[in-house]
Amino acid sequence: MAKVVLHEVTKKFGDVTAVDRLDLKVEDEEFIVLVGPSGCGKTTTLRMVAGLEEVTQGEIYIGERPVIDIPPKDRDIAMVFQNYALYPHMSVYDNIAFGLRMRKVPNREIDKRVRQVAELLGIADKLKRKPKALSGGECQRVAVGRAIARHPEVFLFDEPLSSLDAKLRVVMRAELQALHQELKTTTIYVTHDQAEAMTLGNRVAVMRDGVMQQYDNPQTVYNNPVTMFVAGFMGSPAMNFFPVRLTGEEGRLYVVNSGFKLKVPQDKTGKLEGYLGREVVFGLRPENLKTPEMAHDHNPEATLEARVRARAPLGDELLIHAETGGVELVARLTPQTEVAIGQRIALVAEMEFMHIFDKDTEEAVC
Amino acid sequence: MVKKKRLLNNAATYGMLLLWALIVLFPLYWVVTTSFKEIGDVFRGPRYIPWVDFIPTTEWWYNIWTVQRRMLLGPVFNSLVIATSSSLFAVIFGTMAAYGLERFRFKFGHMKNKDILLWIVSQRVMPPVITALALFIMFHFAGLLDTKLALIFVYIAAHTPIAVWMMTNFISQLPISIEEAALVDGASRVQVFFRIVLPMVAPSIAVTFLLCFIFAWNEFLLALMLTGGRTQTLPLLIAAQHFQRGPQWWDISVLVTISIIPAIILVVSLQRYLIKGLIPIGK
Repeated sequence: MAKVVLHEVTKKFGDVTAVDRLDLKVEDEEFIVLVGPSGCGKTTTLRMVAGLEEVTQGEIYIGERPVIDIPPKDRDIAMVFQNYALYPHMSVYDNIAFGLRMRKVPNREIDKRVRQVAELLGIADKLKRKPKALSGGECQRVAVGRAIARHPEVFLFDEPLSSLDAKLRVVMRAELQALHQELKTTTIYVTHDQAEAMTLGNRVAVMRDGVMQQYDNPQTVYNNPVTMFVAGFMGSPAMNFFPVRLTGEEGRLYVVNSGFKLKVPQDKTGKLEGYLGREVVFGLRPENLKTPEMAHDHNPEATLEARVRARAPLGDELLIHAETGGVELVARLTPQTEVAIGQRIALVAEMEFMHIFDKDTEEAVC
Repeated sequence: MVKKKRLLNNAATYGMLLLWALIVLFPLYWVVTTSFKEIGDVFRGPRYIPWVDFIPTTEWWYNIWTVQRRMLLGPVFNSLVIATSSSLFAVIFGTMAAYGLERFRFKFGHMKNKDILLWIVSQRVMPPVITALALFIMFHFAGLLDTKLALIFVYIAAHTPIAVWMMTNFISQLPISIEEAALVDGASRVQVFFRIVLPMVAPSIAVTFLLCFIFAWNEFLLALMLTGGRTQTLPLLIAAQHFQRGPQWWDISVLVTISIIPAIILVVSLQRYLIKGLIPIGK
């Protein structure tokens, strides 16, 4: 096992900067997730760690070793690809054994390890099959098996679950988690799925346009996003954003727009004083908007009115899309809530979970 | 109604296919039947159906097999050696070049990969007669005239472009991540080529080999320029029948029939790969 360090790593394709001075430190035995929309540079970053992509500038260390001049085969890493990338002309057994054979592991040891891995992943009865005769989930297990059989220093996963259907994805996610618990191999995992990032990572690195936005444990990233981008990207449905003005009356702060006037809790006012009278962006997650019955509270200074435009009953929850002051919002309500489209409803904002972002820099103020 | 229409459609389709098959197969049929005709039947107007129009004879086949066997065996052997070995090397070089052109970036003067590929293929576009004289002089000085080696060299040069072009197309369809997986798994580039890429493109290699083989097997002009009595190939032998002894259609037909056989054997034995090689590679 080893730690992985990226120091000021930059990757350019011609004039396009895919990754911009990225600093990333992955501790030994840690499972980190690189997450972001497509084109954010997360896969390029992973491929640079693997050695499949040259580094334009900067240094990468695996363990204590600088690796940018070392070919992939000597980096002691294993990678799982999005489309599995199994060798189509080899049986499952040979697929798993290939890396070991390349490293001249004795045959008896290869056999032992292949069978161990197959047992662990539940594909022991498929060893003689060719990849073509396997289902998507089985292919995925073989791809993972091929990676773990080698006992590498670092695992690299490139969107390994994105070709699976939703149900299987959840199962495989849990399996990967359990696997990491058992093997404790340092892992870098790339995904565009924020739910996957939240569930799998010890830490999550959110990327956008080649720049790392935030790198922290999933709960912190969710609760305290440092930019509007992170706030909007993590969480589904996304955080509601309202353009508001910060006003002050008798030592109290309010966020005000044409649809509502909400009081800012006392403990948040300190950081906001510099923004008094200015336009800012007020953010609130859908689960922090409640009906007065749910909130057991009808504080008028925390209540806004909205007109329901659509409702999406999901069984365990009810999402409503509504409009207030010309802005769309989403609220996550209990399924028992009775609302009709077109109806005006009162929503209580849990202001202790509010976020304020600078309108120009999009950075979080509080 | 719908059923009737479909039936009619099918009938039309199969009718067209049948017509096309007749057009394609008729010359073959004519050659094969002619090889079983008496001299009189050959010259006395068209005779189509054995035992109805004419009484078949095996005389010419017997003749080739006994009296003229020595005349036949030499050229057949020459053609086999030359076509097989030249196609083999053309496919080996072609596959390697294609892999290089598909997976690495080259700059040769102002030419990049696409230009280099076009340049290689353009060698084949040029009519071979342009180079024939130059090749004759070159091989004369090299002392290689009337050797199998001369034709093998020339055919390798002539068919490598086809192989490069075809294999580039096939290799470009391989998902690159499989090779990357092998690189990460600990394979070197050379190992990736031989252990991962070659098995995956085996069907395409079979197709390419077959095409090169047929070209080499049928080639006439360069063989005429560069060979002599010792290295005569089958197409030359067939043509020579006419030039040396007048239009002896019966002997020519026997030889033509024999000359088609290797191609048929190849196609039948490679059929499994041919179908795979001609359709895009899947998963």
